[in-house]
Amino acid sequence: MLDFDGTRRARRKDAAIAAAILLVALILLALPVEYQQPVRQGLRASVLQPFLMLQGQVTQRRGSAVDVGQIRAQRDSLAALAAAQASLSEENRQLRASLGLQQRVGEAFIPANVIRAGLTSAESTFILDVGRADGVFVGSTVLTADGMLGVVWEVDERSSQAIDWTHPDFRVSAMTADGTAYGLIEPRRGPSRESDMLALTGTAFQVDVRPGRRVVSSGRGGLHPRGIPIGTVIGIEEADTGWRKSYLLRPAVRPEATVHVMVGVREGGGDLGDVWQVTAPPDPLQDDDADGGTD
Amino acid sequence: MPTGVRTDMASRSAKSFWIFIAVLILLHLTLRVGLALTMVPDLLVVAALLGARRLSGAGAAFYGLLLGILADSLALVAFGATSVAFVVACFLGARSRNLFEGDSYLFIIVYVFFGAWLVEAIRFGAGGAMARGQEPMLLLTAAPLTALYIALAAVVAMIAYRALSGHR
Repeated sequence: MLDFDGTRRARRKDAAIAAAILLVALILLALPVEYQQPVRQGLRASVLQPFLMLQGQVTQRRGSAVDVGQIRAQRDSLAALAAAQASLSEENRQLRASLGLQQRVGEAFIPANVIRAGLTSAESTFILDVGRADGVFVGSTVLTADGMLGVVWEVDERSSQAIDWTHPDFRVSAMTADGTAYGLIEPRRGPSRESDMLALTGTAFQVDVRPGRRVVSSGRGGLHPRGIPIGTVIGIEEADTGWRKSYLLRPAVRPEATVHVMVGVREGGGDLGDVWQVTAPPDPLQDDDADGGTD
Repeated sequence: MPTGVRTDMASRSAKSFWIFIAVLILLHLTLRVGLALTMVPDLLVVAALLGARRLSGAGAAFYGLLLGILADSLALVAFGATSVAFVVACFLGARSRNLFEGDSYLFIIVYVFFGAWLVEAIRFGAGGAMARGQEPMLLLTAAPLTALYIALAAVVAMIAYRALSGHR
């Protein structure tokens, strides 16, 4: 055991070294994300690799132990989604071909397994067993048969890390399924993770959204496809006098129970409204943009 | 007792203690990362705080930095916040020996409780949790409960260590 009393000089030197180490930690905290990323990737590929592999195996075994009926129902839903995607991509391909645009190959979504680490710092994030080699990119939409789960934030060659909707930085532009109100989705923390909710913020004050209305992604910004279910309105959260309203939503997907997902591998949004029977008319804002572009 | 024999015993005690710390870290990674068991207490905090008491201030700070980087390895935001928290907590843990001697279970539970609470508070502040809309009240509600859970885990771990190694 080291002598910890020491002389006053030795103690001062000890404190100075500790202060220098604290400075290193603060520099690490202040580093831009692009410099932090290699450190994280290095650790994931070395120290954490065996533990992440262990969970991958556990997830697969757990998946096979789940009720067969539940798996069959999930698989059927995902198959329906994939089939609808195939028909949409075929339709898109034909439209693009007719417009003379370059043909794009491949499906818009690929299946993946979710690996969750229980580290405190990794709360609201998960790892996917697909990566850059599979076509995943930063900003890829992660969805289940019930709706949107999250967004990919970091991509390695064979794996990627994503945030789910409970993450404080999760944001998606959204609209009601009938297209009457547009806004931005933000998470709302509950007393426990199971009680976390979503909020549709920034909707026009004069529009009244009734409880029970479905809220889906609006496709604004071009990052996420349009028409993916996000949640159902359960009531008004806040009315900013004369300006805008916020509504609380019951999320379409619970992250805790999700094991199998589909990950977007095609950039540029798109429209999945047909998959979930979204009847909203075309986005007026995007129509305006389109008109502006042709003027 | 001859000095040589005493040094030898101290060396064996130190070795078995650091093996115990390594086991705690491995257990944490296996249970939390490998098996995703989030109900398991944060054994990295236990390892950091117990280990820090056996090191010099600078050594404890460096040890905290390494464990912090490991804890932050899957953090997409606020990478480094745990490192800052561990460096401060471990340094103070090392220096706490100047004020409090001994390793009674009562002391361990109080020491780890306040240490874990401090880690939570620094992580909350350095990680910009308030800017992300998290309630600071969590530091007075959830954080002490988490710290108590970790402190109890530390006592259980020390009981197991002493029973297995025969050291006090």
